Amino acid sequence: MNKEETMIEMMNDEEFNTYKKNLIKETFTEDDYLSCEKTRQILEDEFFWKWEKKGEPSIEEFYNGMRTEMQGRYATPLFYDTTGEFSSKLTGIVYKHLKREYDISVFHDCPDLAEPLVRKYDEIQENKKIKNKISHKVNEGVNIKVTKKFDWGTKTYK
Amino acid sequence: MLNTYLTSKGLIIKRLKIFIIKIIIMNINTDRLEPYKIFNYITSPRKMSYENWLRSPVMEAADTTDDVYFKKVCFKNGDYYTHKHFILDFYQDLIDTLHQNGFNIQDEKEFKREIAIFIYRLSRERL
Repeated sequence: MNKEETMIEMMNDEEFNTYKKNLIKETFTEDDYLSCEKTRQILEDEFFWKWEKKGEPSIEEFYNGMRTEMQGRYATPLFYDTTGEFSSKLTGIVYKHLKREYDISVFHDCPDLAEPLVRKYDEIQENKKIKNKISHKVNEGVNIKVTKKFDWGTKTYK
Repeated sequence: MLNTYLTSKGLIIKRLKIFIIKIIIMNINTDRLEPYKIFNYITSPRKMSYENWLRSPVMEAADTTDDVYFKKVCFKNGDYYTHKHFILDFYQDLIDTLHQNGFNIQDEKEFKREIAIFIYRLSRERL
């Protein structure tokens, strides 16, 4: 058992929870959450929930206010929507154009939700290492060509 | 005389350029778009192009003690409040509402275009 494992063993539940929270905060980025199907679904559900709770009602309220005013004045704009049935059409247009800005703090507040990603932690780290290695090798390849001179006699870089 | 002619020619070309740029920016086919299909409701046929409708003033009912008539809505300085003004105001209020609730738009140009079409298809040309 190494030093860190011993330290974790000694922690009480509250300390372990804080440790887990911080670890998740420091380790995973938004891209990581989006790369895992289950955590991605959580982020998308949260976004939709926020839209349904805050966004959609406020747009409907705004539109109906505007429409009622136009109907009351018997004005040309929005003349044909006499009952407000087109507010859902408007909210549909708005939702289609929303910038998908996900709030990853849900995983910081409730680290258990990140469990599917934690289980893939080793795999993610391994992929990151492989990517780093590949980019390092590509750079090395470039460096050889830039820094070393090709000898046409021996057909090698010197 | 030549100066006046050149100035007016320049103005016409300038206006033509602005008109073409507007069409490109708004990316809207200037053909008439029919109103949305509204259940149990007959809409009047389109007589104006989209561009002309944008430039036309918003109209509303006004009543005196004896009569009801329709008037063109004006700013305080007497300029017409057009359907384009209405669209811009509607769009700005919509964006403000979204921002207040913590939302942003991905492609504002395309969004504005769709909102303009949405309003156009629900509006009457004149009263």
